[in-house]
Amino acid sequence: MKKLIFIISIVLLVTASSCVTTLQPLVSYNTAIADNRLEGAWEQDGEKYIVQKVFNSDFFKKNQKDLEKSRKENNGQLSEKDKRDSVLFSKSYLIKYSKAGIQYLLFGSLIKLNGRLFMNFKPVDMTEIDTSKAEIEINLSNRLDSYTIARVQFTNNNIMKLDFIDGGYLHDQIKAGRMKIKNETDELYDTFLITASATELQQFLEKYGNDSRFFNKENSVTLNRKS
Amino acid sequence: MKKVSIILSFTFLIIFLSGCLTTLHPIFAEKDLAYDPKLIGTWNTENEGKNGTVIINNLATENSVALPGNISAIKQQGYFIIYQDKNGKVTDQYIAFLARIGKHLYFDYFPADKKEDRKLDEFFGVHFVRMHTSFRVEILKDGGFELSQLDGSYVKSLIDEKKIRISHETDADDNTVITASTKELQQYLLKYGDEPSAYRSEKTTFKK
Repeated sequence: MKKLIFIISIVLLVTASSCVTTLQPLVSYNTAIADNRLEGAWEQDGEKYIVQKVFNSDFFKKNQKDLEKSRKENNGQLSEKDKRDSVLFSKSYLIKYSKAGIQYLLFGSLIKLNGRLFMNFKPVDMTEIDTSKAEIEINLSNRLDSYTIARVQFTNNNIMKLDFIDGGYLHDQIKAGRMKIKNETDELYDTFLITASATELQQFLEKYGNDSRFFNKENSVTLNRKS
Repeated sequence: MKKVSIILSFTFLIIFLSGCLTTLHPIFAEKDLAYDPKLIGTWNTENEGKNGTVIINNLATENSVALPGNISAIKQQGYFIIYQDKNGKVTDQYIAFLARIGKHLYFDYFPADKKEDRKLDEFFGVHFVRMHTSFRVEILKDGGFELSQLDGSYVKSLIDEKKIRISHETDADDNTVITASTKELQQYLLKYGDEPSAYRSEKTTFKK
């Protein structure tokens, strides 16, 4: 099967601060869809991005022993949550890229809503590679990890466009009472987090997922397949 | 199926939410601020035998830190707090405000970027929501002070036992995220501010 395109880009350096973040994932284990076309290497402006299915990923292979050990410590049993996570991971992807000596790993899951593809992203790992090639894990204290959401559009098999939701526009609409979605806002510290459930997020995107006002140029990235 | 069953939780990124109470909203409003210039300076700290150095500056004098939201309007009453390890390496930095809530003084800490944080990819960084942490402050007779950090597990136990109603969400990894408003948080502090279990057992002592 032909592989599709994907990834994040340097353009996001300009746009990232206006991305909407959500506490809950848009995609759950029973709504995720796999699309093998996503796998491969992608590039934009000299930046390389590797997309692998979770179970085929280098990260999974590297951590497999620890994961098995952890399972054995639990008498080989998986909790219901672990079982659901396993189903989700079997249809999800890891996205690896490096910038300025730091290697980043994102977790991504796809969903189709009203015939349109959406993907949500969550951070997994951040590692600094020092001069001796040693890996140093970077941890940021007192932060909560959240999700970003992008609409995914394929022009052809080698070009993909990611449109991230414009947080500024959404915030303004919510503040003006023109749109409703569960959120937490703190004006003093400029905190804005969507706290809607996965189902509410899906319903919201079914309603507004084709509204061009949500996806302005500054929040869009076009990516090209490398291999 | 073997493959599927191997994978466990994917929360590999550390979220340091265990132990200390982290909140989405601050514990103070402008009316609660209780700026004390005596806290400015370089302090030797001790916490369960671990020593370090903490530098506290007035927030308005710090040009290197990007202030979020409307913090600029109250920066004269704020602090910039730098934690260093024994080798002088900066381990953490915070934008902080001292507030009086009921009969106690509290510090509200909000993470500020360290120099090395600024080279992080902005897109990756946008996934991390900065959370507030809070400490009760007790001024000591010798001019120093002690910080007692609010305990997250205590709040969670109150929630689990249905002994408290405080706004919160449970995320996909079953973490409890406190989304209570400032007003709700202050009600919590007024009710449990004198309860020893509401604080982590270890205290950090600051001496000049």
